[in-house]
Amino acid sequence: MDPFYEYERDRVFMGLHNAAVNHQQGVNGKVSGNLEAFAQIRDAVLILHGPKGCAYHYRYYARRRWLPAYALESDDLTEAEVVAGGEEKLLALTLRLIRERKPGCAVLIPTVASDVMQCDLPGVARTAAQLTGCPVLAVRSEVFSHIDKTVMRRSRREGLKSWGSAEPSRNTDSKGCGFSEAMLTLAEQLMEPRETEPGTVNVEGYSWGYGGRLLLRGMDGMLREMGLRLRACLPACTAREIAEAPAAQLNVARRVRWAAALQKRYGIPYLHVHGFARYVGLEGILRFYRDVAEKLELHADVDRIFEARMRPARERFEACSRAYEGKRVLLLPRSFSAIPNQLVQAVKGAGIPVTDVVARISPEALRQSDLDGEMVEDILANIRRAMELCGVPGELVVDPDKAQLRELTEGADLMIANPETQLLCPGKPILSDDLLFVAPLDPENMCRNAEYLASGLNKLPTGNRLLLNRVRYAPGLYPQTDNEGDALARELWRKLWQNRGEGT
Amino acid sequence: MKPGQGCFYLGAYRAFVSVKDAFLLVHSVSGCSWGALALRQMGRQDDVRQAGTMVHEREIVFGGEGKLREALEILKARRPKRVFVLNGCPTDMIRDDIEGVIRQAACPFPVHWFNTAGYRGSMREGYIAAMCRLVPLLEDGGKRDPRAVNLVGISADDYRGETDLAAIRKMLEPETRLNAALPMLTEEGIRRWGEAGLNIVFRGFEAVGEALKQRFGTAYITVDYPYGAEGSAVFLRAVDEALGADHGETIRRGTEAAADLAEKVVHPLRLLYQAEAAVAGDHMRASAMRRFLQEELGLRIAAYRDDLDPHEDGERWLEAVRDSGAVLVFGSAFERQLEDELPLRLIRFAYPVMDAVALGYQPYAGFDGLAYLLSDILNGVLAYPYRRRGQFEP
Repeated sequence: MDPFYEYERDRVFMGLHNAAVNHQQGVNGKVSGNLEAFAQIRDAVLILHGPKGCAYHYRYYARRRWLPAYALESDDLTEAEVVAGGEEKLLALTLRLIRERKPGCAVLIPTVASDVMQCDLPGVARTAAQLTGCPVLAVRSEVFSHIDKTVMRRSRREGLKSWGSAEPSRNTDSKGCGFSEAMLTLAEQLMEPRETEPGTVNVEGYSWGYGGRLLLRGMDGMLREMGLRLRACLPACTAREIAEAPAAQLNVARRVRWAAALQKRYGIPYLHVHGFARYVGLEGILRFYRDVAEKLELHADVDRIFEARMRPARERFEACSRAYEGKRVLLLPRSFSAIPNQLVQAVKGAGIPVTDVVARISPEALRQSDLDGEMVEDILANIRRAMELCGVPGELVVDPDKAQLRELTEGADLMIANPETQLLCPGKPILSDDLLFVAPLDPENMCRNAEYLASGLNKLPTGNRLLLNRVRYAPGLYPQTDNEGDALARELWRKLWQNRGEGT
Repeated sequence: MKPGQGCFYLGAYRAFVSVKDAFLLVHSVSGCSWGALALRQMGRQDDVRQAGTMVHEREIVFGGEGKLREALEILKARRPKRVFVLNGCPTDMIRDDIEGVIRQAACPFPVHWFNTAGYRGSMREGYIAAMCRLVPLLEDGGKRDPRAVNLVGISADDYRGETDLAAIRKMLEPETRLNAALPMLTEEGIRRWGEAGLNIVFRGFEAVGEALKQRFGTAYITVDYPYGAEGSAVFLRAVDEALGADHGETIRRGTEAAADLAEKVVHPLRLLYQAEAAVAGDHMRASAMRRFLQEELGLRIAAYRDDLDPHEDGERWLEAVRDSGAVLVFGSAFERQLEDELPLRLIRFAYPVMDAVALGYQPYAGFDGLAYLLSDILNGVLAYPYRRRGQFEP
């Protein structure tokens, strides 16, 4: 089997478990992010300190819905413990689990209930570690329950301003992200000072998208050509390997505070991958390894090192682009805020010469989203920047009316869009914008992706008989469904959360 | 080669075994009878109705007619309603006079022989030929009923064949009446076959439609197997056009039910959109399934194989699936080899299925079938044991 297909299989077998409904009208608690990190540790015991309902449902946490954290333990706080304190019970459970399972480490995770009680988790962790010799970590809640919406909005606003640039925004990784909190816990409480192993790189095992394992494998292959190697994928390893992580010469981070902590404490530099736009395409891939070399102060001629791989890759990539020669390709995605990345991904990452871009900004979607006027302008500016970067010949079309849209779709030979579009323009081949998710960091997999898409053009569905298009969607809010209960839920979500504190 | 379908004998067997209460006598070596039985037994263990004459070395040298005679004598004592005698390759090669033995036996029940030697053709050809062989047995019945239809193509041996037939009947009635089905005949169906005003023939079985037209003068229409909401609507509209009937209300209700179903699983459906799939099976089912997957689910079909080409090597299709990102394979139990090799899910829908049962009313066909088909597709993906050690683990 061609390993490349791991991208597609991840997309379906992992992606189908997507909790889209919950994310449209809800925010998962930070415990979810905690577990996304800690559940990856191969030999950790995880204890959620709180009423049993928390552990019961958080086993099925947001980021890894295809694989619940079956091993998550609860100390089952009852009313009596909520009044009198639950530390003793937590300690007893921790000691028993360490004795029975002999883990590489134990992690005590707070819940809202235990935070309200101000339970002394660090104290329990210290005692348990002293009594057993096993490392016991205690997560310190940085925020109440989950990330604050104003923090999220600030992060997003700044992210839009730094789109595609080398320098991430200052607040790209904020307090309240459960994953970040967990990684920081590992950096501060488990990792130990180590002698540097030259040429080694740690990479954070988070948010590399579907096909992430293959992406990291490709990255390792490239690093080896530079005389480097991946040392560990954190925290998808043993507790001991995490403890020894500071031996790496460089950390590649998606969330950044843990890496910044290691830099401060041990002087280990880090490369923050805060978005993929910068690293898409053959030039983007080279840029990534140039950034790695720069962080390591290698003074290596990265372009020369990879020239033997890049030359055939350029030829393969150009051949893919030729499959679209003479075709008018319209990018018409569901979400206009995704256009900058999707456009770069299509043109630079997959060799699809997009000729026209349409941004549909539904007022309904805008009202429900977290975007203000300034952010919309920033997105439009990023779209125009992406169009320039990608050499898109046409002008950006914003909110076309029906006649304009018909003219555009009728003139197109191929559309990059979502299933809903099949209803608008039956008979036109549509490449699902969901397929533009592959951003490998090695030229072979990147070319393989471009070839996969180019060779599949004759397989694209064109009919307008999709079951999906029989669904009654809320106007302008595809794919949210249209019924009274859902509409009411949306209204409350918007008023009680999104507009919270803004007098709406 | 990796045979994509069985031999002429297996196809004929699938037609004859569909005739309810008929007994099948397989005049051949033991493997012929055993093989056909083995491919149909799962989920039908109450329905053996067959035996082999157990031709052995001695019969190959001296002739097997004695064994056949012996078998018919035993059957005479038990008086089955009807007997179909099938032969395998060896008894055709030694030129046993099967017809003569049957005549001499003078059984007090109908005994029909058809030369089903495997090398006469493909399974599909055997199936069609056997259906045509059944045509002369069908009777005129009473008065013509212009609202009555017959259905041609579904075998009792097909996975979910009986329940699909029930779902199709439910769609057709009461506006029209499903009079009988070929080859899934009952004795009553044989008697009243000629009453129907229209034969509905599934695509690929036009030869049977022609044979029926010649025998009874009944017009026929060719339709696709009704998978999905659109597939079911197109099926009913074709019937309406031919008969002047009106299934508008059934179509409206079915379409509405399909929208309700889709709404319940809108996000999985959206995420499945443009996933790759592969299809292999008999032409009737495979072509209709391909249409359903492409048009109604928006899947990309990476590899397709049916039985129209009698010499098709299954290996080419297997290679095409291996060289694809297919996550779903629609096929028979034999396609499980791909599920064993690759991270993908097999959805069983075509003959033969020996490793699954579908008890009770669980059709894939018709408006009712959509819920079961969709559930099995989505459950196939959702329950697939994928990356059970974590995303980044080897």
